[in-house]
Amino acid sequence: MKKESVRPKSPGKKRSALLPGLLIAAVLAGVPVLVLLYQSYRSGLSIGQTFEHVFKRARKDEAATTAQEAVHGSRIDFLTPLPIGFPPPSADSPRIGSLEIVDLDKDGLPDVLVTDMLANRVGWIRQYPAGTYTEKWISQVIAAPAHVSATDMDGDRDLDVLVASMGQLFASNDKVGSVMILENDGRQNFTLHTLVDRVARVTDVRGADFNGDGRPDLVVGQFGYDDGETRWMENLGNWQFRSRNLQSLSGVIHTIPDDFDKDGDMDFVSLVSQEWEEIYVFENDGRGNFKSHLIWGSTNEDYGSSGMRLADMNKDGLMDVLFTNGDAFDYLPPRPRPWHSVQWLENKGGYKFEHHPIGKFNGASGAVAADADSDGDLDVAAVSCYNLWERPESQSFVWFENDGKMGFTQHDIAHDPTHLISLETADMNGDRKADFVTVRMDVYPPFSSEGRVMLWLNHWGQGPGK
Amino acid sequence: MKLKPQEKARRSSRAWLLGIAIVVPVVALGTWLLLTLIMTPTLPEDFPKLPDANALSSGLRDLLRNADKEARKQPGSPEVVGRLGMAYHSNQFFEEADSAYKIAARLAPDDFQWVYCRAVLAEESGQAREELELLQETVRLKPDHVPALLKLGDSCFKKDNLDDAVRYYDRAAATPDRDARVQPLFGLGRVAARRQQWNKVIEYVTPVSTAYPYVRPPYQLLLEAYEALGQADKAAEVRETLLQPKFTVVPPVKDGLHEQLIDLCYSSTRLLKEAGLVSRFGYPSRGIELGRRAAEADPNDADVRHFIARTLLNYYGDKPDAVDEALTRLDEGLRLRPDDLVPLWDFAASFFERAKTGAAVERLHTMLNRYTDRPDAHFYLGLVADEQGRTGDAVTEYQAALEINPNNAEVYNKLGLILVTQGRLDEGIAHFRKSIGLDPVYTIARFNLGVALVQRGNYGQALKELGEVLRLKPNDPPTHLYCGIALMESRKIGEAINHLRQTLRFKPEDAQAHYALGCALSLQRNRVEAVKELREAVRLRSDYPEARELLQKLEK
Repeated sequence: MKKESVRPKSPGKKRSALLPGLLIAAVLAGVPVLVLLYQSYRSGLSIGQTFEHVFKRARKDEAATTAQEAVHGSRIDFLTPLPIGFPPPSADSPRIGSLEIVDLDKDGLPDVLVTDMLANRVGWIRQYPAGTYTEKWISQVIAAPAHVSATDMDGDRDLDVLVASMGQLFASNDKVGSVMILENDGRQNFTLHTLVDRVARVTDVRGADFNGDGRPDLVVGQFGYDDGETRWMENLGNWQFRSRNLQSLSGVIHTIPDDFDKDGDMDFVSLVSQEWEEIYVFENDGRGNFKSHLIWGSTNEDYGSSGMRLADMNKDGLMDVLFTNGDAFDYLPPRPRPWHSVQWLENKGGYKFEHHPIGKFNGASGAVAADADSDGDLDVAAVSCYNLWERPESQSFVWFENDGKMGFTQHDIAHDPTHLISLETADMNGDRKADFVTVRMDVYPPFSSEGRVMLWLNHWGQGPGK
Repeated sequence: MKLKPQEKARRSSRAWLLGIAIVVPVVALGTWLLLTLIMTPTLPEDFPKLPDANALSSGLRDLLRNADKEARKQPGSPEVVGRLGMAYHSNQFFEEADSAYKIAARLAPDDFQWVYCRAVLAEESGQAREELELLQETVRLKPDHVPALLKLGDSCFKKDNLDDAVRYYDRAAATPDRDARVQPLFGLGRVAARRQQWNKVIEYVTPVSTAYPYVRPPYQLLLEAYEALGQADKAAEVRETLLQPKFTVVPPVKDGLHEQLIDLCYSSTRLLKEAGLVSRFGYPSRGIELGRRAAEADPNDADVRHFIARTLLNYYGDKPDAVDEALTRLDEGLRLRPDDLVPLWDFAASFFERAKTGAAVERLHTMLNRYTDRPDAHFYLGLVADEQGRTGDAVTEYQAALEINPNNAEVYNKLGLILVTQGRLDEGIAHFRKSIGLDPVYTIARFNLGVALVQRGNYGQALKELGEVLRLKPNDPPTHLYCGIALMESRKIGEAINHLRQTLRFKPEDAQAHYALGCALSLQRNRVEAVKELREAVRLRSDYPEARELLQKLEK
């Protein structure tokens, strides 16, 4: 018979009592954790979110939606609209391609130049006397005039008128474009000089002295269709020009001169749409030799670049680029796209530019910078050509208010008139407030005849307009 | 009775084990039930809400409902939730798509596809910065993702960050898929052009031009390169090629996501865009198929109808069934948007470019007759009357059109054609002159003037007018043909042959051009070549007595 011995309790025996305890603790804690992990995996929530969900008992609406992005700003009323120029056409809808505000007759009152692609003429809306606007044609028939600007080309101290003629508004590969100048005799009688014709459709022409010889030269943007071009034309005097191709990309919308690098000569910026959607600055060496810098581009081939202006947006002394994308003809119908917007490129010096969005805007076709509320910073006013016009809430004219730190808040200005393709700003009535002029182009229904050229007088701080 | 210590210990252990055996399932069950209670339903808070179903078409409603139902059943499956995201994305519910993609990406953090989906979505929503970050994340997860690498390359290129662009393009070009190498090579070619490394441009871009002979941008780069290198002969060769019609866009690289989005699409906007693209890239039947899907997706979209009508007319205008459907679609479009008659005018203007059956012409006539109160209708009614041989009615309609707009260059052109057909050449010429006086770049009237002058025997004047047309449209085959004929008649045989060869470059199946070239070559006493051209003319048009006669003469 085996003798029972009473052995002292060993540490191992102690451990065996502890083990089940630990096991139970592990089970009590581990099983719920495992189940939680599984639920987390199954639900797609992160661990943190699952814990938060369980412990906060956050049982909100299972299908809570994310907040809809506000596409509308609050309504603001500080502009009084006033139709100016010829009455709207009776049979057709207006097709104004562009405008420039300029004191053409130098009488101290700003006038408006427009290119009418329905009448195929350039119109001068003269302000005289103050507050009275009368339009007259200053050109003979010019096929699809797309852009107008005023420069003294011949040094006789009056303003001549540069006209970019597309030849045909709608897509065409035909060489039907031309560059024209309406020479001013000093009494606002104009003689037409065709500098280049039978070239890919021309969309912009501007004057600036690129080679420092004291004569304004020209920079020309040719949209074309398949064959576009960017060229500069050296002014040889006596209305003779030598033409030089700088780039062979189609879809050029704007070519705008400025001294971007502050080296004393004129460079220029070009906006190239179509399949490229790029912005180039052409750096001038002072003698008319240019080096291109690609400063921005979208990888979205349907980006729809539509308009560009220059402004020192942040007042740092360097010229920035303000531009819009909202051309919608890559798709049919030409309707708003989620990426349509207003934005600016901050000139950081050394041909480096930083992209900043200003705001989404359906069908954005043009934007200008102006201190509309006279608070010392530059706000942005923008127009739209392609929007859901059957909906009254769709805006054709909006204002992005600058908070002084380059943060922008959208305010709605107007739904009517619709189809606004471009705008410019100036103090039109001498009250030191930025007024606006908009123009309308109907190439897609619903068509209407109202609002061919509208003056929007700024009454900020003076109560609602009439 | 007292238990022995060993027995006690054994029983105690058994009790523990039993306790554990009971506690584990009880705790598990309790936790499960508790969690089920707490977490029911087990959907993430950001799970997208199904949009108002009443506002959707039935197909889209079913697609979204089914995808939503599946995702609610399996909210832990990244594939199922991601597919819900795609369903939303393709139909332009961008916020819902973003939520679903985010959930899918959380569920499968190492899967590149949901990150890439979000990148594409960010691009379509105009979120450029987010797009870039997501593309970078995509290639981190899948270093050989060609579409993402290409987009990153493009993005760097468009900021003039050429070194990084090259890195991305090089990585994309290293793909074993030969078809996918073309686009990165084009990117590398553009970079080389920016750097003015012209030999590299040729090296990179030549394979692109070979892969896509009908795409324009590679040839433009090659032209720039050859000109910069001073290789005038090669530049001239490329310039010649550029005269032929070309697509303006290098087709995008094949992207599985894009195709999935199209498959899931009920948005007429996206479908119509795709339909337009594939038609332009040479697949009109696929374009029409997508157009029909778009029409089903949005029964109220007039543009879809007009797109189908135009595509059918442009690509299948010689097939009566296709023309019939085109007319039906046009009619639907007009009914959907009765105030907009521009599509009708455009359709009517190009309707007679190819021969149509009498029934089709009558259908168009009936359609136009509904709008006789519209000033524009007269011109198009004139076209129909002209086609139906009712010349008197045609003249009446054209004159009515002129009463409304006396400066209508097209009407003078049409009246000129009628007069020429009636043998009243001088009056016809006067009308053509009037037409181009009103619109100097109206090449059709100028061409007709040139042809009438050839018929009149005024070759010098004809060549002047036809030359002007060629300045505006340098690759227009009929103008080259008539230049050739006028030059041949003026005994400028060498120049005539050049023009006739140009005609055949652009239109190799033109029997008349082969015949004219045969005549010119025979005048040059190049019998062998002349016979070759005349045989081709007869092959192309068996009932060509003039060609046969000359051929027989030369073969003797």
